[in-house]
Order: sequence, then structure tokens, then C-alpha cells
Amino acid sequence: MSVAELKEKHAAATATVNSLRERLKQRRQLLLDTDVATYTKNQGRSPVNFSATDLVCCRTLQGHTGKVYALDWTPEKNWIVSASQDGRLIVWNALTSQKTHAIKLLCPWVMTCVFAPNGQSVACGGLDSACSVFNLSSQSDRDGNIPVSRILTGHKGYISCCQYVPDQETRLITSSGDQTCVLWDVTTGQRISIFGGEFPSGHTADVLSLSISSTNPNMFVSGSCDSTVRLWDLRIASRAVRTYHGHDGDVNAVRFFPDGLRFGSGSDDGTCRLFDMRTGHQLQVYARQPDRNDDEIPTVTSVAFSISGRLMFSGYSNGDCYVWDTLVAEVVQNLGTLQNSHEGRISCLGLSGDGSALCTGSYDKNLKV
Amino acid sequence: MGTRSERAADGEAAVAEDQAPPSEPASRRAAGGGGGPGVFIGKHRLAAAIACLDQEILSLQKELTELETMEPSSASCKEWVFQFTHCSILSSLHVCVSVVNAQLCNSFKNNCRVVASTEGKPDPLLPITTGPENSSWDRWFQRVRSSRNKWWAHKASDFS
Repeated sequence: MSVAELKEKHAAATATVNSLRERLKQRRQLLLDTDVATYTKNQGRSPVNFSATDLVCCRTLQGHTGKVYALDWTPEKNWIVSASQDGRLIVWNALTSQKTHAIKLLCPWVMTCVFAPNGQSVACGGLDSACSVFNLSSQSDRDGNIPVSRILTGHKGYISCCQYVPDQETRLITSSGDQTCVLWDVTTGQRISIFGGEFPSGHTADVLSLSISSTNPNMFVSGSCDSTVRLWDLRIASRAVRTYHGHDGDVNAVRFFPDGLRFGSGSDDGTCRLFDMRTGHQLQVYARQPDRNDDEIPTVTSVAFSISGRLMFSGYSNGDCYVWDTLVAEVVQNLGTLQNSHEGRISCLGLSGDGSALCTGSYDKNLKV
Repeated sequence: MGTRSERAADGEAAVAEDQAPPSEPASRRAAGGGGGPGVFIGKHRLAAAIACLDQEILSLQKELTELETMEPSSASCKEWVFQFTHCSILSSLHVCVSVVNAQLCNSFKNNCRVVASTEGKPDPLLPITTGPENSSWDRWFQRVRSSRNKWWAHKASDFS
């Protein structure tokens, strides 16, 4: 077949794909006959009622000298690891506010950090396009720095997010500005699978976040600048299981619901959304009320669910931290207006292992519990 | 500075100031040629792209077929709200899963098996929650004796 014929075939296939996508969009719209809030309110359910003192800030973790970009809790202990523009990871005992480790990174442009399931290692990544793993028990060098245990190289763009596969110290997934996600064997440093890329169908823009299902660790979702969220099966790297449309901007954050069957997402379009993983239905849109003080719509930077899933916490670019009642889709508290709240953008947030505490990280250089 | 992608772009611009501009990729140089290796590379990539699009077409057609028989979103909403409501009640009555299995119908059993560990879970951040109180939730409000050691605590110490 000549190049001209191939080009003609390519154009025809592209047109077919576009037509099918439009038909899918219309069909899905027809199936959206209600959302969770409408259904719940019709049953007479009212929102969770918070008093002014039900959620209070009880710790401010100070020590970073730059914006905080990411944080993660250990599954069982009260430790938090945070990553900052100052080029350091700090490990905190959140109960005592003490810093147990401060790790100076080779590349200061870090964007994400995570604890290993056993809490003995931390991993991070950023503009160096590599994921670095540090063993917290390692001997420090003369300058007091912990040496890197493993560097996972292979991505062709920045590392936006990394997560360990639950209960597996040796498997880690990264998301990247090169439009792919990668499953790594941390022990060997080898890539096990690549999700997306030029020819395997995947995201068509930078991937910004990922979340692994706790109830089915073979499944993870990724959010991207292409405005979609995609569901992947670790065993099938060739193509995404499902693509979720709805957002009108970069999807900055994704997080599985506690039951592992739904997930939430947060976007530059200022909304959070809840999707049903199995059917692909968009169950709910969580949209802010327009505020006269906002010059532009605050973007959603981070999302997390309480341990029961009744509450969703979302951080915004203007410093707000909304607590949503997920069932009735109403804001029941704004942590950004409480006494002693952050003074800048909320960049990251996460719940402790037992769900008793929420930690938020901010551009004001602090973390708060 | 905005989201992660904007942060990355600003960071990359700062890092790349001293770097030489990247050379033109080989595929771009070769693509426009009339014969020889350039045509082979162009045809190969085109064929691969077409194969990828064909896979995408199959996948989209499969999804369209699924949607023909899929229940509307109201069914998914109903299932989720049902799980929140009924399994919370069961949890507060301390009904164990084995009793549920023995006595209730299949669909209800499946719903509760999926969510007995989630929506029925006691939630320390809710003003009112199901299940027995867990005293460890209050550890954040107890006074903690602060160490007089330097902040880079000894590695061997147990801080948990």
C-alpha cells in the first residue's frame, strides 16, 4: 500500500473514531437521568451537620522553606512524608510534630512523594523524570543525608504522582508528563508494564495523578490534562479498560472511594466529580457556588475521602478546603475559613490510616493536621 | 503558578535555560522524503497508527453495545445510597456478615459484602457515627511530651 493510500485510510479511521466518540457521548448523556444528590434529597435526607468545633486544626508542621507540593501518611503509624519546593522530603511524627528525617534531594524539583506499605521507605519524583526510593533505615552520609536506594529511570517526562501497589513493597506505579503510567519492580528497577504511550491507546496529554483501588489492587485510575480519567488493569497494559469523560479541564487529582467501586476526581474546571467505575456513569458533580471575590474559578488541586466515604475533602487553588457531604453534594465545612487555617493554596491532602485525622499541605510552606 | 502541569512547565523552563535546544527528531527529518529509508519509516508509523485506530474503533463499538443494555445512572445512584443507608444500620446493630449471609437475599448480601467495610465503618471525622467509640481517635487532642533532643532524632529510636 502506498503512503498516500495509508494516509487516506488513517483519515477514514480517524473520522470513524470521532463519530463513535460523539455517539457514545450522546448515549451516555441520555443515560444520565439523575444524580446522587437529587436521588438522596428526594428521600428527605439532610446533610451532615458540623458545628464550629467539630473539625479543628491540632498540629501545624513547620520546617519546609518552600511550598509544600505533596504528602502521604504511613498506613499504620502516625508518620507523614512531605515534599517541597525547597528540594527536601521531610518525615514527620504527626503526633509529636517532630521531624524524624530530612532528605535533601538530588533534583530539587520534586512533585510527589509516597510511603512504602511497610513505612520503611519513601519514594519521590519530579522534573528529573525519575522516581527515587530512599530507605529510612539507611546510614546517613557525612552531611546527614540519606543515600538513594534505587532510581527508577525510563520516563520521558516529569513524574507527577507515584503510588505503591497496596501491601507490595516491590511494586510501584508512576504517572508522568510523557502521557504514560508505568508499573515498576522496585527491586530490579525495571519497568514491568507501560500504560499508554503513542501506539497503545492511552492518555493524549500529561498524566497528573493516579489512585489504586484498595479492594482490587489490580485496578488503578489516572487523571490527565486531556480532561479524562482512565481505568487500567495492571494485567492488561495494551489499552485502558474504560475512559471517563465529563471534566472540562486538566484532571489534577483522582482518588478511589473507600469501597473501591467508585472514584472521585478534581479538575481545573473547579469541580469534583464522582464516577461509577463499572458502568462509567458520572454519579455526581460537586461544584462550588460562584463567589464574587474569585477573579477566576479556583481549581481543585487535591481530593480525599473520609474512611466511610460520607465526606469528601477537596483542596483549592485559593486556599479553600471544602468538606463535602458526598451524598447530598453540599459543602458542610470550609477548613480554609477556620481559625489557624493555611494562608495559601492547598496543594495536597490525605487521611491518616485510621481516618481520624486529615493532613493538608500548602504553598504557605506548612502542613496542618 | 497553577496546577501540576503549569508548575512542571515553569520548572522545566527554569531548568532548561542553560541547556542547548534539542535537535530535531529523526522521524521528522525523514518523514517528507520521496524514497528510501524515510518512506519506510513513514509507512511503518502510519500502519501502526492505523492499527491503533482500528483497535480504538473496536473498543468504542464494544462500549456502545454495552450502553444499549446498560441501566441509567439512577440505578447506580440507588445502589450506592442503599449501601450507605442499610449497611450503616447493620453496622450499628453489630450484625456480623455470617448472619447476613444466612438470612438475607442475594443482592442485599452482595451489596453489604462489598460495603460492610466502608460505609458501615465508624468514621471518626463525622459528628455522629456508627459503631463503638475508639479511644485512639482522641490521641490528637492529648498532650504529648516533647523531646528535648535535636530535631534529627536518632534513627534507631521508635517514634510510633
